Amino acid sequence: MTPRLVLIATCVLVCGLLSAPAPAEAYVGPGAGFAFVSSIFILLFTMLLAVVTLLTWPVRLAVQKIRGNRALAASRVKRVIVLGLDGQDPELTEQLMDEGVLPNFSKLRQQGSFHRLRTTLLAESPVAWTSFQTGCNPGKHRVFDFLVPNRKSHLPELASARVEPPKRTLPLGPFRIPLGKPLITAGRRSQPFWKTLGDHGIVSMILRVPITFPAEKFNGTLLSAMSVPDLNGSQGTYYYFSSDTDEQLTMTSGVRVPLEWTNGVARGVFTGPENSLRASGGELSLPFEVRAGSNGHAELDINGVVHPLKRREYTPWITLDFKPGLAMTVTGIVRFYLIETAPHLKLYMTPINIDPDQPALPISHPFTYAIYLSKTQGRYSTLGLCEDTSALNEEVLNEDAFLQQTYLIHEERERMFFDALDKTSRGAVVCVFDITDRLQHMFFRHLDETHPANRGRDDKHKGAIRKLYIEMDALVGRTMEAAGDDTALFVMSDHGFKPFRRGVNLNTWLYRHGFLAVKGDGPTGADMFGDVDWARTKAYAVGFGGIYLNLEGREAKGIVKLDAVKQLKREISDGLRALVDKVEEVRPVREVYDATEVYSGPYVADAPDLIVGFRPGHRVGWASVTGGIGDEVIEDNTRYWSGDHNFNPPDVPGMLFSNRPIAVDSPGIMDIGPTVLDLFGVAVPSYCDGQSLMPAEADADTEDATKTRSGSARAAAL
Amino acid sequence: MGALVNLINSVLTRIFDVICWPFRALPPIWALGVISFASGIFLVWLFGKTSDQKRVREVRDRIRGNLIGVRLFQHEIGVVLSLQGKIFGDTFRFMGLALVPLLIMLVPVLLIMTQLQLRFDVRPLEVGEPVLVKALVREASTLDGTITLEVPEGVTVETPPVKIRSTREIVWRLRVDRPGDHALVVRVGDEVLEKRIVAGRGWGPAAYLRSGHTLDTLLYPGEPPIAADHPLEAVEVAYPPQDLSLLGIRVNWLIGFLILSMAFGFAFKGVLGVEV
Repeated sequence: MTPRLVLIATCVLVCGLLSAPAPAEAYVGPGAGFAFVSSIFILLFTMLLAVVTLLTWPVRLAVQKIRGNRALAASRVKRVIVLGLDGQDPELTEQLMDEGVLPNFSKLRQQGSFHRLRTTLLAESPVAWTSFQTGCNPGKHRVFDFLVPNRKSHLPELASARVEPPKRTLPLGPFRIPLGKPLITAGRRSQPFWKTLGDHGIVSMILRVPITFPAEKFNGTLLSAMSVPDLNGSQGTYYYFSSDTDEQLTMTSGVRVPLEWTNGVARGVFTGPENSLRASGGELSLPFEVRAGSNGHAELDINGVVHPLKRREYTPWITLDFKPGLAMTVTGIVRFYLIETAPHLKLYMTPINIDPDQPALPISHPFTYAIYLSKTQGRYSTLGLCEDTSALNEEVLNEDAFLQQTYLIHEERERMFFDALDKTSRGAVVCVFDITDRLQHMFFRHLDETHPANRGRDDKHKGAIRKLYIEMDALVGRTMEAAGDDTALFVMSDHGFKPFRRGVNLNTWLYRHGFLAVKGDGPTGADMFGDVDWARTKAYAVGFGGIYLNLEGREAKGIVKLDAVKQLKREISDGLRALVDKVEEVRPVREVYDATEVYSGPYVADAPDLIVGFRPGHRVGWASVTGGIGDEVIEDNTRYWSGDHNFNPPDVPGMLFSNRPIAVDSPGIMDIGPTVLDLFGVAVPSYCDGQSLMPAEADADTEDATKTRSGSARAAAL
Repeated sequence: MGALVNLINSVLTRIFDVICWPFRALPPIWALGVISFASGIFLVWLFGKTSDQKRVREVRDRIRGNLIGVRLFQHEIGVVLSLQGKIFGDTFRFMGLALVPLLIMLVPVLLIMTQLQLRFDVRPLEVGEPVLVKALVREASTLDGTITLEVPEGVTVETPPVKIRSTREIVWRLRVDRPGDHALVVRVGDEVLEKRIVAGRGWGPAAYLRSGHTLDTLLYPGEPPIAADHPLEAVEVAYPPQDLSLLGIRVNWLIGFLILSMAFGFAFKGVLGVEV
């Protein structure tokens, strides 16, 4: 009997039973009852919607025509696609185009244009992508780095967003019922170009552009990216379950859960987010059990569900339900990666991502957009920095596992991106892919044979970056296919990439030169300025190149008087410029910038006082980033994180491809937003530092004439 | 087949008697509520076990997602219509996925319904309340012979029988003066058939039809089926309808069961981890 006949027979049988002359058969109970009642409801509802849509279609078309004509009257395009490939290096791209392995990039260059794209100071994603979206220099949008110091405590904190629990709670026995939502403050100021577009009736779909958390209201849809926390409130805390007590690992970004692996069974409990519902606080926990299976596989029993764990494969997203009390549930999602079951059990778990199916924080606009994506495409990573570079750096994951994870995330992003293209016939689609940044950070050592990070490591993934660029070329090809003639396509990166061979511990240098003082006999290696004697400290470094003066009246324990600022800046700048790396026989500092000279706008006072522009190969040392004082001023970088972009910005430009020619010879990242506005016929706001790369009048210009123009003329010096 | 159905009915009737026993002093809506609760949970659990939950979840999620999409992409008419098409397709796909569980669930639902009908569709007679008793003969010619109704003490036949040839029926009007479960005997020539009649015991099982058809035996439990060679095809006592009310509102037992079981099932589907 064919399946078709079975179906027909089943239908006939059901119809027969339903038509039997008794009331009992009119109902088939909950379950099937729901299925049919809700299906009929959905069908009726959808039919009603369809009828309403069709009946109102002429009216809507007319309104759209009028609105659209108004919105798109001066528009030169129907659609703009910005495909962001975070950190894709123009030099490497050009090299591979010359080798002929990037045919789509080459085609795009031939059809339209290819340029290096001036990046921001600092040359890093939070700063650059914020300048991209606002068209402003950091002095106007206030995002100067990943980390900035809290002027009251001097402690480093995230520059882009702050999440605090609701201020008011209702005590109820052992519980504290929150009266309101968590308080989320965005660090970014100014306004993204898609908000301006929306105000003019042009709808945008924005996917995973860094520094878009919390998601702000505008006329379009947006999914947040960088700075979305995990359920623990951190920027990504992974878990490592291991029965190997002899294993020596230095884990600073993960939680190690020791297990006993007896007769192929391990039971344990791990802790997740803080229980903010209980007055006594504490962390929510989940018990679990791992049982060994055959061929090195296992199974995981958690939340009453058994999940197969295949050796060296990621599980699909698994939902974790934490119970804080009062019948409430806090839901997160994770993937597991079984490293081994013999002789020890070693199991990795990703940071607990906010569940997009029921988001605990505003990770999208509208709030339902995250849910829409989850329902139609399956669950996906929501964490800001979702590729777990820390787990590889700390050698919990190996390169294979990291690659697998990164490509899984990339597949999710691609699905979202092409869905957005499918849903947008008019308007802007912007999507940033992070894989280019994360893989280059972790695999750049393979492009530099003498890199210190190569010591003792194999070159199995020597071709990882080449393969990555080829994959991106294929993505560009698919995007070009989806873009029609009336679509302006931009493929861009926010900065380039170079090897990160040596770390320069700025706080160590400041300490050794008397600008930073410590308590006791000397630095103990404490993080977060644990050793610092603020009463005698004139300057300190936080983040990826910023140096802050301990200014009286600004810093809580400031001692530097205003009239000493100029001299102090000069001393530090001159000293750093003169610094020599005796091992590599180079001066690691190319330039030291004075914030008041390179930034403009109302937030310059919040910027680091000095910003160090490093020569490629040298970057801020790991200890210095979070306020530590390392043993050495300059030391080898032996971590997997072997490539970087926090160098002197002119040395690490981004790239810009377009399917149209551009009218300047030196475009900057601040020009992209204004260009999109201009293409849609929307006036570029006066506060923007960038300018259109495709002004209408340029269409008639000759090629020679365009060569004389320069992008973002009003922008800061860089 | 008839014997098997009779056996199942007997067992189920006993089980439901036990379930209803604690509620006999309360209005019948209480018992209906408890049975609806238990049925709701059981049937949702059964749906979970008999359906492809992974695919059901996928399809339901897609429907929900695309419904959100219709709202999100209002400005794109083409997209909205395309999403509506997808919702249509997925709804039929979902109904397809529910077909097999539906077939399986028909069996327990039918059995539960018959027991509910036995208890909540009609009510036993009140003492002194008149009632019609109707016998259906297999052959109209049987009506030409003698058909008598013998009643026990405490039951009075109020009217002589009325024969209706066109429908092969003979009808009496009775009155029950003594509470209890009485046996009426319909005599057709040498053949006799017993039919129970209940009066004055509050609410409880009241089988209004005793029949020779297997399907009727299934649908109207409470008494054994009539033998196939018996001249009578069915005997029916026209009990008055059961008066079910909730918060002063009259409720049909079927509607009440439908709403209550769905509500309980819906409330507990999350606990049971079942997608419906």
